[in-house]
Amino acid sequence: MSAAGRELWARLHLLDRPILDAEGIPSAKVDDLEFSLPEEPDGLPILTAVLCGNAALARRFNRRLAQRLELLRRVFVPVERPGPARIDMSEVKHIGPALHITPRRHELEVATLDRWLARNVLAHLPGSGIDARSDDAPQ
Amino acid sequence: MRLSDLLERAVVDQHGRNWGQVHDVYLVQDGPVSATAAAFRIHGLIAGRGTFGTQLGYVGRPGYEHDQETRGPWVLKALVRRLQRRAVYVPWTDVVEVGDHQVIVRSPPNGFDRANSGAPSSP
Repeated sequence: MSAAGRELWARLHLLDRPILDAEGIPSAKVDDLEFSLPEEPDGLPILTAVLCGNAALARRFNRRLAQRLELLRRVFVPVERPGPARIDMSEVKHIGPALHITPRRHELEVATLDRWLARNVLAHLPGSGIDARSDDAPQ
Repeated sequence: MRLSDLLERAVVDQHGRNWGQVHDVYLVQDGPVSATAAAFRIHGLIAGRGTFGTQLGYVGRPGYEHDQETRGPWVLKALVRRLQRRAVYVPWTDVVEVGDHQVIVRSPPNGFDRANSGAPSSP
């Protein structure tokens, strides 16, 4: 993000856009945005993170379902409190037709369940071509 | 707060007037500067009845140049703009509270500016 003073519309320019990892591989999409509320009364909310994954997407349609999915994520991801997978805005390096981020795909929280399925299910199917020991097991 | 806490929420002012639902949120990269870049901050909302034209980018809005608008058959553009003509821009400084079902705002005496009336004033 090098353009200072850039103007964006959250839904039009960010929501549902693909997220490309450090190698340009599609890794997730923007399912929601997280803002921090200002401490001062006249301050403006600051965009702090991009939220992605099933739990983040579900919240746009059914909050109760989203809460259950966020709790379910804790089975696979050792996080202190339930919530969707998030990518901090400090890790977003460019916003265009897609969001380019600095981490690699296997470093993202959102890929945890996909990696588990790839290693434990898909890798054992004949002809899948997936190495169960690899960190880069495809999604 | 999340974007999903705002989108499709009804915008209601201090007099109980319903300005429609939140269609989109206006972000400007003028926040605190971190190691990489300045942060984006919410400067305002577009609210109105119906979301079709706004979601497809057919409708003019603050900070949105004419050549950035979605191109398409003029008949379709004219129809969508007609349907969206009452959409308004609500500066974030007029937002009082974001509730579970509605966004409470403080409307000025003359109401909010139309969404396609040009660049918003800075808060």
